[in-house]
Amino acid sequence: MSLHLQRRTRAVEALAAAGIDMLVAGRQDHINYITGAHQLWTAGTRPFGPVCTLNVATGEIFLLSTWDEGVPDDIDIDHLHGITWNGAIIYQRLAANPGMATAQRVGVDAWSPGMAGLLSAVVPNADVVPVDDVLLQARRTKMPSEVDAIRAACAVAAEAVAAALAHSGTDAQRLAAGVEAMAQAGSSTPAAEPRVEGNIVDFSCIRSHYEGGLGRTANAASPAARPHAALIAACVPGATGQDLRRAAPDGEWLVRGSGMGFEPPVINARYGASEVLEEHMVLSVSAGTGEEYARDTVLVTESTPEILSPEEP
Amino acid sequence: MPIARAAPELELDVERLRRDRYAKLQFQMAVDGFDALVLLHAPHVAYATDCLPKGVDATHASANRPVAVVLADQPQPCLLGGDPEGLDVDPHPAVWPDIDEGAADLGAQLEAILGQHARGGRVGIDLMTGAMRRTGVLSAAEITDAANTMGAVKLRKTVDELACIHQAQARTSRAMASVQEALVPGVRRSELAAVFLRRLREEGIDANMIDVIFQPMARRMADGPRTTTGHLAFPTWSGDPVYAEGDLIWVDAGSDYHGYASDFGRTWTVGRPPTGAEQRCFERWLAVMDASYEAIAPGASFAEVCAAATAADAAHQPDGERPWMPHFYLVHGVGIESAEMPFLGTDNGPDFDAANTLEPGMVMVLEPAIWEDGTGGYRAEEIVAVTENGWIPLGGGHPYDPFEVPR
Repeated sequence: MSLHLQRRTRAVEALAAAGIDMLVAGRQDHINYITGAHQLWTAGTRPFGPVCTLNVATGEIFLLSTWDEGVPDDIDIDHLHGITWNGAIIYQRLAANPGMATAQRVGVDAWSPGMAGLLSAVVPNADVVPVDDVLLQARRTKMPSEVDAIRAACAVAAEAVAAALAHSGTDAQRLAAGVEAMAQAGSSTPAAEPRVEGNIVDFSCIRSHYEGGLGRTANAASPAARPHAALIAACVPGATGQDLRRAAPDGEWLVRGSGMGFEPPVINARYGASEVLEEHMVLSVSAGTGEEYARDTVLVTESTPEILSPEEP
Repeated sequence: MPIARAAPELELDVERLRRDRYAKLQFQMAVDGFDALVLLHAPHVAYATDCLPKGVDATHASANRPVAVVLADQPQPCLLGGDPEGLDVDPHPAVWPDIDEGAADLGAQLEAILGQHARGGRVGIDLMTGAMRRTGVLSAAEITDAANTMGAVKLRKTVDELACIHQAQARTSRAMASVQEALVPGVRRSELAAVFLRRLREEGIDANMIDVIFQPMARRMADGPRTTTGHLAFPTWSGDPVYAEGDLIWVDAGSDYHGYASDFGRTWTVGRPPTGAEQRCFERWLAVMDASYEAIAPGASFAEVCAAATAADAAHQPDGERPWMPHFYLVHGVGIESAEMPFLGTDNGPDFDAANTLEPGMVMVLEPAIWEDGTGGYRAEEIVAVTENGWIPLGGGHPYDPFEVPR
């Protein structure tokens, strides 16, 4: 089974277990996870609107896309809705969606008063409930093909880190060189904001839906002596957020999920104390400030964590 | 001929930009009867606080996003998180509204900031995360959508907003001039993107907002992707194609300067000048643009501009088709969003276009597209701002090479 269908199966099972009849999704990462479609990447936050619907019982999907380019074959053109600027058309499409009329629980991945009004007109008797947590729980552990995709994305980000470290110009010039190298290597879409601040270099990208990233300093210490080394070592199945806090160095640090972009768990000095790590999670682990900083993308395994980002970019 | 006219000099005064926007926001809140606005959508946060959106993936933009709170009659907005350095804001600690713990923090901060308004006050909000719903953020307030308020304030731009759009467009255009030099047979899309992103940085732009599009166009619609409209597919994801001599490339890009978007569109040929048939498509496009420019004036209805554009190409449209892509528009606005009001010629239909009129301060991206099946087509974009007397170009003057503007 192709990767996106395996992912969809996970999402459908999680939504079914949560008692959801229909999903109305607007977040691109959830839509990519479920559909596998390559849609135009746009930066930044988005208002909430229905881009993809999923009938949990039948698996039927409708996707907002005027064309089938980038859309997997299992979503036929008659299940594509063209781009619209007209609220009445959005309403009609939702109302005509098989399964919507009888849905008891409609899951949404974000919410606004305007969209809530529209949905309550479409499904006046259904509960409209947030399911971003249900979907993110399903996405939390990664399948082997997902890990491969993340590893490939890390290699692209590493090209950017290498180019910025090798460049002798100003920070702005080094950053531009890193961005250029990352695009040449296969990603013109940054995940987080790239950083080139004196000694510190950190790049991340989205490549074929998956995030890869790493951070280094010039003349970095050997891996075992880097500021996040103890944190990485602590990323084992069963470790809690509290355990990571104990392993963390002084100063800034963050452990968070990485997959189709930024994902839970989020563990730092303030949040995530009760999170529990599982095998097959992929984490971005960063620590340090000033002269000492490092970030890696790490796979939690049954034994020692596997670092997916190249040691020497 | 009004095309390719250079834009007038517009100087950005950041202090005035902030002051004018905040005053408009306060005025509109009074009109709409809001005690407070709680804003999570990055362009809205930027409008209220000048904390600028970043050109990063949506998941990262959302994860620890700054939040703006605007209280009626208060002299400055509250900014939760973000970087308050140098901004005229009341700074508050960062929250992570996408996770339950962070949303609970946001809820507690909002209780403190909103005071009595958290209980029964009329609060406008643009978005709630699932975590905010689960943790009951603002559950005791009367919540209304902030969309109409934000739509009203951003519709007519201040002079400094025009300056930002002008700068965004001029800088994006200069970056694109370098890209076009790199477009030779055998080059890949990824190589062009690399040049573009480096040149944007060199132009002082650090927020590229869409994955830049260099779409090779099939010469016949039937050879391109299938569409819901039966018409063109653009702009699509197209992987990493290698361009060959004679390819026809439709280009589209958008990046932010001080939070305001550019929208660059051109048609390029690879490795050779346009054919006569391709050049004729460009000249039809020019005629549509000229007719549109002629019709743009304060008080003109959207429908009048659409009618003028349509009439200019009517001789080439036996089926009465309009010279723009049916899934889009003849014109969209641009500002803190890459596409915002005014929209002319959309699927909102003729009644909508007849009922709405141009007003001074509106910014219009004209993007007609000409298609001749078998030949291909021409599409480009130009930005103008409606003035008290007519319009001015923003960031204009980028050449149409390799197409020739007839003398």
